[in-house]
Amino acid sequence: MFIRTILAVGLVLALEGCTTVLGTNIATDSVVPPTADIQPLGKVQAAVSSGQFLWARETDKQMYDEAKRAALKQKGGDLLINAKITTTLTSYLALYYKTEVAIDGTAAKSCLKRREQDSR
Amino acid sequence: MKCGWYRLLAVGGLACFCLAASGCSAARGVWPVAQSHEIYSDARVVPIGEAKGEGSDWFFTYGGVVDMMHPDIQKEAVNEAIKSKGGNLLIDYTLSLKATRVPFGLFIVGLDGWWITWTAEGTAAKMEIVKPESAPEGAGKAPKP
Repeated sequence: MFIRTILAVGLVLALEGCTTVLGTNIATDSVVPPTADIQPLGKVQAAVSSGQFLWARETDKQMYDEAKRAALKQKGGDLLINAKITTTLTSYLALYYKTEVAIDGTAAKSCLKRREQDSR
Repeated sequence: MKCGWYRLLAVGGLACFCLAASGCSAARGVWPVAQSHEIYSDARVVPIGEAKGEGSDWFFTYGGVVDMMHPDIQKEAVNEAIKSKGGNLLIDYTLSLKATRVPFGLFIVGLDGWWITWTAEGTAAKMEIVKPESAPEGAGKAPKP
């Protein structure tokens, strides 16, 4: 009975994993000139995840940029505003690690940048 | 024979339980940041190029919580990135955290070691003050990283 209980608890923990969530809320992630006209386009959500055995993958700029591109693509924006960025690391018995970067915010267009691009 | 399998499963289950019960052994995070320093209204920001910097340190905890968000390590990473390109600020960058726990608790109960690394990746830039003709001397000085 005792052995079965241990096995059951071990199995549940293995399936559930151990999760750590870290994150932040940002107004914007890039420098916006004070003269820029920001036009909100709507709510966007995107997530990028990656898993590997024995060692957790680093969450780097590449992973964030990938998630940001996916989020902005939904509304065709060039700027992310008022967004929540969440990194979730799930460890399954310290053998398999899943890392996820999720973005939940508003896509926007910076009109100054567009005018600058038009004038080029 | 049946008893042997049970014993193997029990040992395996116990090992899994111990590993799971020891908690998460790592933390990862990414924080996007627009600018590392204040940009003055009379300044012009000139991007220099992609830059990367790293800052890391060891911490030991005895039943406490580790200083994962230590500002000094973050600053070290940002300054290193800026220095690598000879700029004076970093723009449109990300700060990435890598925290790994070393469970010394197996030897001394409650003792943990933590290896914390912050990486700053973004665009290094130079801030140039566009001085008007009548501007007083020393006004709008650019900050040093």
